[in-house]
Amino acid sequence: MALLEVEDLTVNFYTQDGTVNAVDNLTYSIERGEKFGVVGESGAGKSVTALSLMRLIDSPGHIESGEIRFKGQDILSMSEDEVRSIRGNEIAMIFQDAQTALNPVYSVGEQIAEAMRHHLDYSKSEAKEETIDLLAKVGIPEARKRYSDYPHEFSGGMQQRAIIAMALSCDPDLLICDEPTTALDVTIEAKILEEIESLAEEFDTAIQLITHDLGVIAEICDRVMVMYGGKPVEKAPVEELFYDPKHPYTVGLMSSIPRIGDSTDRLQTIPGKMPDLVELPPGCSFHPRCPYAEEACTLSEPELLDTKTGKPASEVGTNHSAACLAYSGDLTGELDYSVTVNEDSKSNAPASQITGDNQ
Amino acid sequence: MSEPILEARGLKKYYDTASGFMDSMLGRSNKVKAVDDIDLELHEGETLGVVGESGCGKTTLGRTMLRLIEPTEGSVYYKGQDLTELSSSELRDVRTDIQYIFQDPFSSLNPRMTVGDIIGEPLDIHGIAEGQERDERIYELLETVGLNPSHSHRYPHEFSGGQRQRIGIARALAVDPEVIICDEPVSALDVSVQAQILNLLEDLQEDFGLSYIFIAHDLSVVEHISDRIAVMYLGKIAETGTTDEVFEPPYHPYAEALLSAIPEPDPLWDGEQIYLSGSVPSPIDPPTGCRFHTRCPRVIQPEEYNMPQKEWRQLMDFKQRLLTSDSLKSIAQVTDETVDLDSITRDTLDELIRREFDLPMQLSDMQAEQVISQAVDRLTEENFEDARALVADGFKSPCEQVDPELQSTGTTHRIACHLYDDDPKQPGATNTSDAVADD
Repeated sequence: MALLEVEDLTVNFYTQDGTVNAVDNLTYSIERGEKFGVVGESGAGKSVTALSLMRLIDSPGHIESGEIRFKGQDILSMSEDEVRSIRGNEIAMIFQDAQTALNPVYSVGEQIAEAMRHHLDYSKSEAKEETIDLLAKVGIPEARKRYSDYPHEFSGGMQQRAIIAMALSCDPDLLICDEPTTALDVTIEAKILEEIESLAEEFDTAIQLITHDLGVIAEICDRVMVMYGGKPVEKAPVEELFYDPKHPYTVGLMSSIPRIGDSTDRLQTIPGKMPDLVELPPGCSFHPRCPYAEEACTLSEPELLDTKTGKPASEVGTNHSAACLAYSGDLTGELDYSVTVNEDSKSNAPASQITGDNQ
Repeated sequence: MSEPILEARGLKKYYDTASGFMDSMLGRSNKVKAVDDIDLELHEGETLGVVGESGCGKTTLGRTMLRLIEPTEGSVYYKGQDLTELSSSELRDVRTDIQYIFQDPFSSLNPRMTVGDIIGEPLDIHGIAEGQERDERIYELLETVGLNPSHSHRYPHEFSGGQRQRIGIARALAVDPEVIICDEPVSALDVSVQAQILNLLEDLQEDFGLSYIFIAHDLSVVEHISDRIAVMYLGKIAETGTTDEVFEPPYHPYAEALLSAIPEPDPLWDGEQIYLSGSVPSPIDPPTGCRFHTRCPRVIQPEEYNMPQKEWRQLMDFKQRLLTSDSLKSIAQVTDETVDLDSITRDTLDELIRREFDLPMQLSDMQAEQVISQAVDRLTEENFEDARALVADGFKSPCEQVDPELQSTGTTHRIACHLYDDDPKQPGATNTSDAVADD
């Protein structure tokens, strides 16, 4: 049994402009100790997915249907008390913006200790000692002295470290990191990522890492899910995703990032923009931007298919699946792109290149 | 190379921290040195990238160059004309030649104006076009940046982030400028949109012969778009040169660390990352000498010492911590409750300190070992003053004494670092292999 199993999760937001289908029929699972990445641009439904796991979706949002099983128990059918005993305890979350995630009127140490007193029944002094230990572990110097400091006395990187300490305080089995380093400078980002990785290893914690940065994914994750318009479009082990991407959106995403040592003048772009989630295009929601789109793409919506056999991923066990009609044989043309690995430049990151005339 | 089109000479911008009349009357104010004595040249048709971490002063630099913020000192020359000397009406005329694109496409457009009016405003202010001609110019600009001219009656909120950034670009182009200062123009955008905007900026540069100052924190974006790059740290330029020069050795240690920290989009990549110790010091009271010495993995050892670079870095960390603290609690990490700092033995304290700073029980250099063990003696007696004097005197890097000048290491490449001083006696310069520090 996987640690976390999400099945057919659908989340809608009811707004004045119409129903926003933020997450649509999402299915995935995370094994114990696994590092699972979720990539996508803004509006892809990454954060809503994460919040649903903790049942933190507020009105006007509503979890429409589906099951979220954590260690076999369905989170969606639990009582509020039961969910609370899991939240922060067995599933913890690191938010993008550390400054707003910390309460400005409590000292940093107190906020961390509070969770431990609540979930683990620690006494006041036990919780304090444990907190100082943790603060030191996440790399905050002078931990004992900083225990009673307030959030505004911490720098951005330090605040994010405090959040990590808080998330790890109850030794969770699953750590959800929602853009944990997006607000930080690169030199600090590198340190925080390393910190998260080594701590997760030490505590044997599974990670669901949400980000838009493919570099971060490459560094941390074992398996990756690419999301577009509220749906997963590709799921693959990280190496296969970078060296052998199967969905045109993944290819477009990879080719549009500037790379160091690459001397090409123009970046490849994905034309157009993210679709409006109120009015998703019919058929495959990526077809208006897809260089390989055909008429079939506007008519039927592809499901996740095993990229080798073309059978639905839900029926056969597969580790690499993509939601594209190319794999069900409904397209007349082929996905005409190639992945080049640049050997001589400083970075030999795989770069996918869209070739062919239909660009 | 030809005469620079835009040039900063000794540009400084100091902010006052006084938060009111009482503070300034009582002299309770400090100066934040956001931009401290910067020389910069922008040549015609080129893109100059300015990179650095948040708080290094890159936005302030961009804005002072246009006099959106008054510089404290120094001059900015546009085609030989000193902008800092101009009256406000003269300055307004010059602004038809120098324009600015803002970072945030959401707050930089007036939500109450239609897109047509936003783009038309500079045309009105500078009296460039009226009536029919004005409308045509607006349609033409919208088309230039890849928007539909029929959208000119819409309001900013009806557009996506990428489209709004295009509106900002159209507004900057309206007056037909020569120079555009782009302040993080793509950092608020999604990757696929970011690529579109970067391509647009390059196309416009080609079509209109623009020169850009491109301010960003993302090195891979800057590398892609720039011809030359200036790396800033705490209000000063650490390294400048053509893009290739900055991305190839010799490096300024800060630029080297920045480069190594970019997460590489390759799961099999296994490069060595350089982790910088500590955090960026406050620009209110920047470190003496080289401003980077408090974090530099390659900080130079005094001549009399000879130890692995990493050990020296840790010693410097110890010294910095000791100089700013006045209790044992903040020097020695005590996570074990049984240790009582008030009645601690010398040996336990010694061990705690060395563990906290990852130092061996016996330093590789005997002379340095003597200094540290004497300092621990003083600390055991809680004599902080003497301990501080000991390490301040004993562990003194040349880097903290003299502020390095920008040195030429090539025709256009200049680095401000003592490692590249002409004086070859610096031992650190050869010690690059073990210069990779972690914390």
